[in-house]
Amino acid sequence: MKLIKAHFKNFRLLKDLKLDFSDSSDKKLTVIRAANETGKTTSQYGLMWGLFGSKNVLRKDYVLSPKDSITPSTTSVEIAVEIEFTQSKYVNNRGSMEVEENKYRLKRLCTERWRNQVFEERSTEQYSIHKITSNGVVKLAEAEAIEVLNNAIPVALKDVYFTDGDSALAFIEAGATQGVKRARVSSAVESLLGLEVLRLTSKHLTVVANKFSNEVDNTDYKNEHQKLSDKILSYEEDIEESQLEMIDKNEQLIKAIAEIKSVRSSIEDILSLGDKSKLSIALKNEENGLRRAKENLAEAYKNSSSLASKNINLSLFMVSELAVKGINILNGLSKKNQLPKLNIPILEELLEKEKCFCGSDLSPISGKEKREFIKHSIHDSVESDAMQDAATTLYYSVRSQNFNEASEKWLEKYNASTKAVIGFTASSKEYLNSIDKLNDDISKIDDSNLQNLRELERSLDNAKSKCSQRLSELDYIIKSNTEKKNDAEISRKSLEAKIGKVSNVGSFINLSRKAKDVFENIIEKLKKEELKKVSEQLNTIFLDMIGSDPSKNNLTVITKAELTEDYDIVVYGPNGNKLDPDQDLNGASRRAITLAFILALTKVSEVEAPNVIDTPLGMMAGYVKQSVLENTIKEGSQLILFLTHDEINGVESIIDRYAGKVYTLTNPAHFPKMLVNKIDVNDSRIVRCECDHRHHCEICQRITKEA
Amino acid sequence: MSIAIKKFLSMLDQEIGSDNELNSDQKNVLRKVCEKIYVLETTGDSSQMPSQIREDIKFYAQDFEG
Repeated sequence: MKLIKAHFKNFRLLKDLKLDFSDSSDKKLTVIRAANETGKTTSQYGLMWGLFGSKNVLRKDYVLSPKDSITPSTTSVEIAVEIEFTQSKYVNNRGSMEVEENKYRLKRLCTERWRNQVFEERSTEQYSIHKITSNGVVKLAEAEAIEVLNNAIPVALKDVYFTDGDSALAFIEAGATQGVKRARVSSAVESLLGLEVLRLTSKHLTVVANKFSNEVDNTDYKNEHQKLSDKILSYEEDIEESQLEMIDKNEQLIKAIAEIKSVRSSIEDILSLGDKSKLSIALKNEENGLRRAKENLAEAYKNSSSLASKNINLSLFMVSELAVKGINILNGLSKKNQLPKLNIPILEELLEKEKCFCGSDLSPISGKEKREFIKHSIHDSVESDAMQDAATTLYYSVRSQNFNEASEKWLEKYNASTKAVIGFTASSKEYLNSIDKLNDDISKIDDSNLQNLRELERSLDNAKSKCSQRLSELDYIIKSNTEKKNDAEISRKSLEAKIGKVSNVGSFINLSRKAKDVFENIIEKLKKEELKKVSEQLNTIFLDMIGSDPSKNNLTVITKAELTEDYDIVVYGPNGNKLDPDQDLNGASRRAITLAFILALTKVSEVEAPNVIDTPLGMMAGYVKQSVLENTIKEGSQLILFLTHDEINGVESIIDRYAGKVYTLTNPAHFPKMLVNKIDVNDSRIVRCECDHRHHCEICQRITKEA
Repeated sequence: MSIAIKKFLSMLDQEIGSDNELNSDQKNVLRKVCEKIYVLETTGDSSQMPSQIREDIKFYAQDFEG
């Protein structure tokens, strides 16, 4: 199949746009130059919609009507895509197969309903196919139209033939589980190698052979044949039942693995914000720390307080300076024997004894004069003695006190107490800050679902184990029943040979079974040998694309690419180490491996169909960019590329060499920021000019950074 | 779409060519019938296949048995 041209009407911004494609085998490249937001992806979608219809291409909410054409009075918009293509068909002409090339025009249209500028629905799509002959145009009947369309490009291959640099990565992307990636790869491989139609043919031949079996009329052979056929049928039913269960279990397993991954990712997301249970433990520890710090602080305050009250050392400390002065005075008095002063009691004792130390009479009568003198002295001394008494008392009280030592002791305690207060205050503050932060972190974590997720993870793990176990059992059952079925088939084949000698029906059975075996063997060969060829081509194309030659350079980072029998795309590094294509390859190499896979598949299948690729050269430069483009051109049968100006930069000479058609799409809305000139249009639409990759005109001339 | 017909024909040749149980006439007949069935399958209405295949088998069986 080759695309000739396409005409889009009201397909989003493609209000009235015609594209045509080079179908020459010498110049098989068509380049449609278009900047970002200039209808590249829309054009590709338009082609896919035309070929495959809404249900296979568009989301329900993907509106096709051009947005600016919807006014309050709009009730419906008609959208149409017309695609002209050629299709080769093999016809049996008197026993020999001949190729017949036909040209068709496919038209798909639909109507979108609007009310008050709100999209309501897309009406039932209609499509028709006309055959274009030299005698005119003939509309095909529905059955023939379906056949032509199915043989053009089946839906299963839309991702192979219509792709872009990003979506091609679906075959290796990390977001998908291994099972999903395998399913994508195997679906593409099986569709392109035509395994489905071969399996169906084999099934039809079995049905035919079984019907012939029922027509065996020889009684002896009939009974024996019937018994063997019943046995085989029973084994086949068991095998089919087991295979169906296996498919179901495989799907369950893939689903469980995907769900486990998703659940684990959700758990990790929650835990990445913090493990609430761990944070709660940390919070409790911090709260305990705060409680201890507060207790210590209280104790420190108490100690401090006790230092400030009823503490002799504080008293001594406070009076020490003056007290030392006073003590010095008292010491001076003491040295001068002025302290303690005991003269009054002595004088009073003399008066009582009425005799002086010197022997003089101090009696009230005879010693009256002297006695009066002493009394007078006692009286005079009373006031000064009171002061002296106080000084004496003070002297005796303080003379044993060491004021300096006491001051030092108190200061030492005071410092320690103050340090403790400051320290415990600071640590309390730290604990409070930490508690605030933890509370804040905890409040941000919504882990109400964490427990449920962990339970779900356990349950999915169990389901996964059960699936794996059942798959092993089913594998054994299938192998065992296949062996029994093969034995019974050998017996039946031998019986059918005998029947063939006596009845026509035997020869019918024999030929149908032989033909069925041929188809079965081709399927097996396709699965093994052709897959191997795809793998070899993948390796050759990929290494060539990225400029890797491990046979000549042992420093090569990528040494091999492979498509395994399990449909995994694997890349190897030095010493045969496996690399993860999604993680270990750079952006350019990742795109290269997926393009190499698609090209290898189309090359080995020998199917002729256009590769329509949107921005395949993004993230590429230099050798890899040129090599990817050259390989893509070399391996494809028709190549339609939507390229940005940047992608074209550096590959102009390759386009010169291989392109049969090059033209440019422009979005007038890009004036004045990106376009030099204002384009004369009345509404939003993509316009085409015939400028190739080396030229520009008033329509497509773009503002460069330098300008 | 199926595997390209020339690819199928080449595989068919290989497969039948390697069958040591058949003589060359039988191989030719088997090749013709398989080719015809395959073309029918890739271009025709799948629901009608068994009856069409049945007729082809009946047509070629006599030649196959020789």
